This record gives sequence, structure tokens and C-alpha cells, in this order.
Amino acid sequence: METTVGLNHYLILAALLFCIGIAGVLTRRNLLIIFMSVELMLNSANLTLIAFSHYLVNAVGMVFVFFTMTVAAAEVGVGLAIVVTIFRNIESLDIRKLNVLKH
Amino acid sequence: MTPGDYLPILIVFGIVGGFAYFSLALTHLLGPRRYAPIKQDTYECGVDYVGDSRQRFSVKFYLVAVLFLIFDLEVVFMYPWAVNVRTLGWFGFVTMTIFLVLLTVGLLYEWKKGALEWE
Amino acid sequence: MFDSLIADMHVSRLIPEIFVIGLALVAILVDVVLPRGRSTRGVQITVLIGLFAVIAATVLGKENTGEAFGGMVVVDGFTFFFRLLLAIITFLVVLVSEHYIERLNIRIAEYYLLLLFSLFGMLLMAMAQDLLIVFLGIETMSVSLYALVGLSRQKHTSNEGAIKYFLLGAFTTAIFVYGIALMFGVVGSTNINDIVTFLSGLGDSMPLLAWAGAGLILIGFGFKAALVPFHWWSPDAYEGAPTTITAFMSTAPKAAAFAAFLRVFYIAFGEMWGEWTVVLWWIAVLTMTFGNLLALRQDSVKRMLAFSSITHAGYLVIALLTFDRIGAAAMLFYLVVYALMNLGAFLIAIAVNRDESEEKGYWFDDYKGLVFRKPALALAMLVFMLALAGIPPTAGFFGKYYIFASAVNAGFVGLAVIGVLNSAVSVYYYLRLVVYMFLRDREAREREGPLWITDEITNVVFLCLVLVLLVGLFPDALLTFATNSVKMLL
Repeated sequence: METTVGLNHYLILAALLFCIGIAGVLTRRNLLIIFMSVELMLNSANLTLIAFSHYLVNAVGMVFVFFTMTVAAAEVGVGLAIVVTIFRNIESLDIRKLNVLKH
Repeated sequence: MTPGDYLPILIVFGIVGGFAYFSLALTHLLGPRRYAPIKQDTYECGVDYVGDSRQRFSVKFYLVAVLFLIFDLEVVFMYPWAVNVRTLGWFGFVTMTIFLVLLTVGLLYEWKKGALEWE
Repeated sequence: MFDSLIADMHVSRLIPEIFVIGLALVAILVDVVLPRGRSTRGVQITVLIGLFAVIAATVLGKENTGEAFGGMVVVDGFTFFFRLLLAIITFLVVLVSEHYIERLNIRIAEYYLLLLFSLFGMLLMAMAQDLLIVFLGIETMSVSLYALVGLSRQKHTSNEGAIKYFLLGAFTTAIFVYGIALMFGVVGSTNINDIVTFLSGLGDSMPLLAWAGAGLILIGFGFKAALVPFHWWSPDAYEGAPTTITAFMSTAPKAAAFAAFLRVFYIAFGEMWGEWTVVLWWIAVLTMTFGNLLALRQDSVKRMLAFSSITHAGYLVIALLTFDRIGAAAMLFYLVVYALMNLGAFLIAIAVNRDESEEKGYWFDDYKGLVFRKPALALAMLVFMLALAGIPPTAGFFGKYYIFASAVNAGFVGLAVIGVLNSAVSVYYYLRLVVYMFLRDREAREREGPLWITDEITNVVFLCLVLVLLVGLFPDALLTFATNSVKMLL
């Protein structure tokens, strides 16, 4: 049986990566690791866009990915700045230590 | 191909896993254990180490990294333009010029704020 | 070819947005050129003049409507309404900020620059006709806001609010993009007009992927508008942020989020509307009730207003889910009224707070005896609290009245009843503050510190007060404006 890698394979891979990212955000306690999990989710969305773009022969998806990447870079810039500020103040990256604000 | 044809692969997996666990268990049971300071070193032979790798970096590194990241990614928009520059003509040129003017103001801001100075 | 491409873009329809970006560039240069220490004042004045030009350009270009940039954005009455609202809120916040950021020790020009960038993002959201532009608008707004929330770098509350807002924001961004990706896979386009054409051609056989995509996009909007159960960031971000930014965040970005939410869901996913009303019904009920229950327990005015802003978002969802012109107009009306009364309340909270170097502050106790110390301020606060609680003759009453009436009109009587009950509960915590203002005991006299009132705060509070009362007495003008603004949507 000949099988080639098709659209569904890409979509399933992307969905799995997305779920791994969600699991990472929900279970990890280190700020940087949570951050990396979010990036994984974004990239799985990018993979979905590119896969659809290729199979629909439509460049819109690829253009979208350019913008997603740029936005992600801007987010990383601001995010790292906040993380560095926090580290200077509390000497830790554990989110459990961030508990000044309570409901 | 039927599921039965995959049986040899399954058997190979079994053998590989079994062998790995078997040899690990054997060395664990039989091997002698003698600890010495030299054996506990990071590098048992070779140069002595100079310190822990988990040392702090100066905040300046982060600043440079973040600035690099932003400007690095802007190039993403220039590649497709550069490939199609003849087709896009003046329209593409003007658009890219506007984009670059925006970036230049950003660079000017960084420079004047002293973000590019190391000391 | 060059000329025809330029003509097709209809750049002239985007003059207000281009002004905002041009203004940001000029403000950066002003900041760079002026010497340190004097630059923030210079930047503030530049931004104020520039925003005035933006508002003027909006008003002058009112008739220049239609699509621009190949259908990526559309300029219509709806866009006009939000351009005015967002630019005016930003103008007022910039106006009161200079002394406040000096007091907080964060006197840097970036404060104003970030406000401008987020204004640009919000303007894009209000005019977006393509999910790509919605995404870019949301992100331009949010990334600037993450930085603004964390601006008081020495304060733990500010750090914590910023990182929570940032992580949850980035998380939902990823969900939102994934939703758009799935939608793109179904439709083959991200333009909302293409989406509705494609989906209405499908009839009943809506693919599962389209539902998943629309659901994920809904989560994205729910987060940005701080709807339960996606609201967890908002009280912390609101409390951690400098209070002028809290006032800004609870009004302008919320309005922009609802603008994009309304346009995308009414047009692109209008075909699926019947099913969405069930989801939004529950979201509305949870958002109102949850915000209220938590606001009841707060000892800090800033935090009480933060939780109550969640409740107000719940009322707005009621207006949204009616899916008709009356509901949409009620939503626009309420957004304006809410912006006025909330801005006023936050500014008075700034004036009464004694010590900004404290991590928390803004205690209810500080208001004890306020009416004897500064009657005018206390009476203004009284009006804002009555308006927030929805008591006539203030604008807040008509805002709520129109929303509940539109819900009844569309057949959601149960929802309207729950809404009325919730606003009855909210009277308790708003009037609790009023009671505090009229109390006077010895302990309160010992706590009395100087009030922190600047000319700008007095003027803006006065303006908000007059408008809240005027709209309360003559609501028709604003309602007509709102109704005209949503005409092209339905």
C-alpha cells in the first residue's frame, strides 16, 4: 500500500502540537516554559495555515503566516522584557511566587 | 498488507527493548562501584572546569537579543518583495519604502535611547 | 498600473489611521530630540494636538465611505462611530496622564507612544473586514497594553498583572489564530464577506471544521472583552496597571473588542447565529453574575470597578445576542455611556487615593467623610455611582433600559429579567461607596490625607459629569446616532 503525506497528516500533526502546547501552558510552572508552549501553539496554527494554503492553492494562508510570525516576535519582545523585570524583582520565574493579587 | 505483516517489526521492537533493559540491569547488578573525587568531576579527564554553567547573564544580552529578534523578522517581508520586485514595480517600491521608513524611525529611537551602546 | 493600484486602495478613506501612525512617528522624534526630563511634556502636547487632528479628520471625512485596501477594511458609519469614541477616550486619558505618571515615577514618553499604538490597533479592529486585519488590530492593541500594564516596574502588583495578562493574552492569540486557520481551510479566504457567501451556500451541511473555527474565534473575542469564563486576567491586570491605564483599558479596548466581535459574528457567522445565541446566553448570564458576586466582596475601589466592568461586559453581550439593529444600537449607546461614567469614576478614585507608592491602596475607607471634605468631588462620584448602578436620571439608566428592552423585543425575556436582577445587586456595592462618603468618624479623620486634584482631572471629570447627565436627560440624540451607525450591518 502506497501512502503519501497528505493534508490530513499535516492537520493532525498541527492539532497534536496545539494540544501539547495547551497542556504545557496549563501544567507547567516556569514562566519561560509556559511561554515556549504558547509559541508551540502559534506555530501549530501556522502549520495548519500553510498546509491549507498549499492544498487549496491559495497564497492568503502563507501571507497570514508572515504576519503571525511578526506579531509573535513583537510579543516575545514585550514578554521577555516583562519576564526580566519580574526576575529582577523576585529572583524567580515560578508563577506560584506571583501571588500578591488575590480575588 | 495485513496487520499480520507487521509482526516481525513488533518482534524487533521487543528484542531491542529487551536487550537494552537486560544489559542495563546486568551492569547494575554486576559492576563494581567505587567513588572517588576525580570520578565525580564534570569532566573526568581533560581540563578542570572554571565554574557553573548556570551563571547569570547581563541584562544587556536580553536587550540585544530582543532588538535583534524584531529586526531579524522584518526581513521576512523583504524576501517576497525582492523576488517579485520587477513585477511589483513602483507600487511595490513605494510600499517597501514606507515600511522601511517606519523601521528606520524605530532604529533611530533605539540608537538615541542608548539601547545599542554596550557600556 | 501604479496609478490604478493606488486608486484601488482608496488611501484617503484611511486618513485618520494614517494620522495616528504619522503622529506616533513624530512623537518618537520629539522624544528623541528634546532633552531628557522635558521630553514627556513635549510628547504629551504633540499627541494631544495630533489626536485633535485625528478627530477632525474623522469628522471631515465622514462622507468618504466604502471599502479600502481591496476589501481588507471598510469605512462606514460603524467605523465612524468607533473612530470618534476611541480617539476621544484616548485624548481624555492622555490629557490627565502627565501629572499622574510623574506621581507614579514612570514619567517616560513611551507611555504616550504605547497609548497611540494601541489606539491604532483599536481603529483597525473597528474597521476590519478581514480576519487578518482583526488579528493584527487585536495584537497591536494588546502588545502595547501588556507593556502599559507593566510600566511601574518596581511594583510587584504591576509586574504580576502584566505577566498574567501577557501569558493569557498570548495563549488566546494562539487559539484565535488556530480558529482563523481552520476557517481559512473551510472557506479558502479570510475576508468576512467571502466567509458569509461561502457558508450561506452550504445550507444545513455546515462542516464541523467551520464550527470549530468559529468557536475558537469566539474564545479569542471573549478573552479580549473579558467575558466569563475567559476573564481571569482582567481583575489582576486592571489592579496592577497604573490607574489611568486601568480607566483606559476598561473603556476603549473593551469597546474595540465588541466592535470587532459584532462585525465578525453578525456578518461572517450570521448563518450560524441560531446556535451561537445559546452559547452567548450562558456567557451573558455567567459574566453578569460572576462579576457582581466578586465585586460585592472587594475593599478596594479600583478592584471593585475592575470586577464591575466584567458585569458591564455581560450587559453588552445581552445586546449582542439579540442579533438585530435595535440590540446593536443599544450596545453602541451603552459603550459610550459606560466609557463616560467609568472614566469619571476612575479619575475620582485617582484623586482620592492617598499614596501611590503603596502596592495596593484605593481603599473604601479613604472615602469616609469625603462629602464634608470636598463636596463637589463627592457629588460627582455620587452621580457616577448612580449611573453605573443604572438609576435615573443618569445616562446609565437609559443605557441599561435600551439593552433590556432590546432583549425583550428579540424574545429573550428570561435574560432581561436576569439582567435586571443583576443590576439590582450591583446597586449594593455602588451605593456602599456612597454611604462611605457620607460617614464621618474619628478614625476617618485621622486617615485624612490631602486630595490629589489637578486641573486636568477637574476638567475631565466635569466633562464626563455633564455628558452623563445630558445623555440621561436627552438620550434620543445619542440613540439616533447609534442607530444610524449600525444601519449598514443588518
